[in-house]
Amino acid sequence: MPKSKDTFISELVESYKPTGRLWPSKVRAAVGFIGILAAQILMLFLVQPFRAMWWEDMLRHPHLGVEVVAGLALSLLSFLYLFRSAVPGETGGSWLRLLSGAALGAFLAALYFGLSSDTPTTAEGARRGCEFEVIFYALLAWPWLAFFLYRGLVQDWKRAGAVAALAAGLISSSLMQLACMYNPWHAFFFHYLPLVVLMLVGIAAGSAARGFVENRNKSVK
Amino acid sequence: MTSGKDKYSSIFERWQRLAAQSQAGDRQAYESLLQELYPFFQDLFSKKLRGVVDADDVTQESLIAVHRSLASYDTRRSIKPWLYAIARFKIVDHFRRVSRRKEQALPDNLADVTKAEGGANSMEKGETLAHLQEAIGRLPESLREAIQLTKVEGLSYAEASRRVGVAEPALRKRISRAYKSLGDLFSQSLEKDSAEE
Repeated sequence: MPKSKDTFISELVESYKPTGRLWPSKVRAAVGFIGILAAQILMLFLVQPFRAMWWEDMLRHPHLGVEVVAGLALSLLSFLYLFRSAVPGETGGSWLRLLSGAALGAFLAALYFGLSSDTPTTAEGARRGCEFEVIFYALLAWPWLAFFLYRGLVQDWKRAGAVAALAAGLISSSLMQLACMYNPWHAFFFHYLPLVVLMLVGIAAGSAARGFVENRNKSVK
Repeated sequence: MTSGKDKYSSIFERWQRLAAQSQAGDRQAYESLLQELYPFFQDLFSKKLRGVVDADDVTQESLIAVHRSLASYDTRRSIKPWLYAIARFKIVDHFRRVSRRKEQALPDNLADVTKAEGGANSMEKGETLAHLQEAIGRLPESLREAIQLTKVEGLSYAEASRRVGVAEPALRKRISRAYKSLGDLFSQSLEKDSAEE
């Protein structure tokens, strides 16, 4: 049973904490992406630097370069989608869908090309437990994302959880392509499949967040 | 009689100013904004979802959304799309919640909608029923059939599942999906209204 209008409004006014305006979605996406990218590069280097030949590998195998650039672009676009979708009235940019589709297409094509070609692989730079690193670095980015989402209005928490996981995970898996050994099948199983695990965790976290928000709202009404 | 459109079109700019002042920390402006938004949302939901949802409940959900996410409003832009988007979010939310918890989203028999509208005149009752049936009519065949049998013809889930030829859990799943789709349909209709005004 909803409260009376006056009681309800006076309680909302009493609990109001002005926080100023959120930064525009594009700025938040750029800051989020650059911040997480920088933090992940730093953590990767602290554990073990990029493999010595990462730049030469990119030049020798152009599909690797396309894969990494498209993966990072997809991550940036996922951040943008995530933040836009939490601002009422800002969703549904067709240019965003178009760019995301193009980045996803390029990423999948490069991945397929790598898996199906006979390019020589190398064990140089192999990291122990690279799949755990991919997951761990991505999870560290979540509080940052949650802070921005908390102040917005998320409609579909499960989707937001999955996209947040994908956005953060694509950075760590793309960077791992340069930090760990070059082998497309190793990358597929140990750098990219962890994204599926991350997304499942993201969906579960989104579902929990939805329950929390619903209970909080119920206590206000 | 003043139409909803005339009533609100002139005050969106005022709400835009009040929202800017509220973001800057002016509690009095914030209280005025909420006081004025309450009847706005109430009118919107009463008009669109009469007999389907408790307008007060969804109105308060919407004001909580305004309260929690005022920081997301860009005060250089019109407040109207932001408010309508919140209303759409809340309609979709309501039907999602209903489908998840298997709560009663529609009366057992749609004809009861008109009985629930005690104070409404017969023209309004007719509009409510027509509005609901039009939305149901736009559902995909299998979902429409599930809602039609249980909510219009008043069959029990067991009877309806025998009639359709599917197991009862599958029928319940269809009804749950139908509620979600109804949420999207009502939300789209609100979007259309917002664009037309």
